[in-house]
Amino acid sequence: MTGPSTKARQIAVALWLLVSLFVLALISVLADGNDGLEKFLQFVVGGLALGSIYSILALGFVVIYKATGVFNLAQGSLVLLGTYVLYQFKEEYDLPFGLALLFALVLMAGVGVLIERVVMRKMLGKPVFSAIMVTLALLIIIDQIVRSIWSEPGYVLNLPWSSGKVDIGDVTIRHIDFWAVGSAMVLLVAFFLFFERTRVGLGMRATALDAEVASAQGVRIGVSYAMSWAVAAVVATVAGMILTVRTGGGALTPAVGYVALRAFPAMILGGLDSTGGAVAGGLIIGLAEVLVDGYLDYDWLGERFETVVPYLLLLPIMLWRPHGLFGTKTVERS
Amino acid sequence: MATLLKKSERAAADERNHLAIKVVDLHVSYQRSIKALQGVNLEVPQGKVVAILGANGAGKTTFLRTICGLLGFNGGAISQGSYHLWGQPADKLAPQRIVRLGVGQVLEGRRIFSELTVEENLDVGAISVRNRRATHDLKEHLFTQFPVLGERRNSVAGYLSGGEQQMLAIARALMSDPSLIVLDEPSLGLAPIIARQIAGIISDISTDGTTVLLVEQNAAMALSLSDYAYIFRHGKVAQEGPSEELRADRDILELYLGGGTSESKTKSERS
Repeated sequence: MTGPSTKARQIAVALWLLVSLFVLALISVLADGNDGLEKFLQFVVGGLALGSIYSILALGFVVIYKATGVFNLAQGSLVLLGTYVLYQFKEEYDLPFGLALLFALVLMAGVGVLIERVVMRKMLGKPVFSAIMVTLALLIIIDQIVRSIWSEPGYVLNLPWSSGKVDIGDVTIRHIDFWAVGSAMVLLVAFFLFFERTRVGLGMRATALDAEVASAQGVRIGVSYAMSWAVAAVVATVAGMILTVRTGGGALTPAVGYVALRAFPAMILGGLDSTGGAVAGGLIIGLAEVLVDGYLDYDWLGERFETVVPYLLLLPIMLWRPHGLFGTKTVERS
Repeated sequence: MATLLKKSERAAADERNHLAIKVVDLHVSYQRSIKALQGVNLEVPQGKVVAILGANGAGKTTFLRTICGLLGFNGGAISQGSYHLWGQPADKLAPQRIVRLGVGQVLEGRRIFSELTVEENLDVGAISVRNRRATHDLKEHLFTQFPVLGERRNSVAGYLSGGEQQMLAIARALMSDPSLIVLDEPSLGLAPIIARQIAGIISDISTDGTTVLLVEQNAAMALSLSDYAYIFRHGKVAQEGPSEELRADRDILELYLGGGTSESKTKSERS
């Protein structure tokens, strides 16, 4: 829930994005003629798909930050674990995809609650910095656990829509891209409804703002905390699944956990405490990465220059809006 | 506010235990060393207004935090003594359990959720209540009782004035339809005219049948609102008595409370 000025700002940011995209399209048409438009649209599709994955990854960080004020460095390890758990159900136990996904999500929600109850709950009331260091320890521990359990090379996750694609004109859209964008949108709407329309969501927001007062109003803050970790673990699993299929063709790699770190700029760009901002930030970064990769191929910039782009975007935006494009500053009557 | 929600259910229990709060020989310390309360005995009878007075550091806020179950948030703990709510042991209850028992809480410094809207603040206050219909009715009732809040129900609470924020904090505490409301320094930092308005609201709450436990530094206001008062000093009850008597005793006001005497003089002259 935001005041009128925040709404106006969000509309302004959205307009600015659309205008920039339109200008880019115009430039590409002017530069390359008609082929240029198709090329551009192809990049936009790729950018939106990649951006959606960043968005989903960022949502996982945001939900924990929103409820507990802790920046969860272990989010990447949840992505990793979730992906391997899904693999276990789908390929090792040979369950149908829907069932495997359901089991994986439920199990991961449990893992999230467990981490919160056993480890993070003890960090309540301790300095936030210590809590963040604990999440760093979790990152490394979970990472090693996954490497120990699934220690052989060559696991492959085959999903029913791993390799399909659709052609619209000369633009090709892979099924996985639909899944990426669709999941991001569904999660965004679900997050919005959850935080704005349900009691548990309201309780979580209140807990994040002032845990002591929230509990003095009857909010079960333990439930808020556990819930945020459960949701983060579920979201991480979805992100890991899409990431694995889209970038590696389904081949599992422990490195999938580190891709989550590439969502940092997305989340910080959008504002750490804003679900809408996480999605917008993800899309902006994804588009920027793919467009830069597509159009800039000057050798002097170095290889894989596009991976630097998120940070190049981050810098000026942070200087201009330290709380991110959609993040909330503490509202104080002056 | 009476009549809604749990009131009737609780009425029977109240008959049995006419004491809303009973505290015997309560000791509270922080980090196991700093003794904030050292043997407090205190009773709040159902339906009455009880005030706690005292200078800064006398242990008033610690006492209220004990009542609300909030000591754990800053390393405090009950080291000795007993605390009962309506005859039930309450010294080990979590804050949300205490809310569910029927205690509405207005903490020091208003502590509204400044980034939530006015209405969302109230919704948080009702989060422990199952009956959504009654909650909705109660909210609308409060919006008519506090028209300023009703007009600004969708604006962010941080933009309210100090007095409006205090009203919101009180309304939020009322959303759980409490049998007992505890208020910590409700007049703190407010202009005198606004403070009087808040005093009027507290008096209305009491008239509606809700028990009130009020911590105040403004002795004149507290004594005029309350039936009975305790004066805290160095973590103990230094003096107690019917508010009327304490109000007549100018020495008390000057000795323990400092300030506020000129206003209380004019008050006692008036009465």
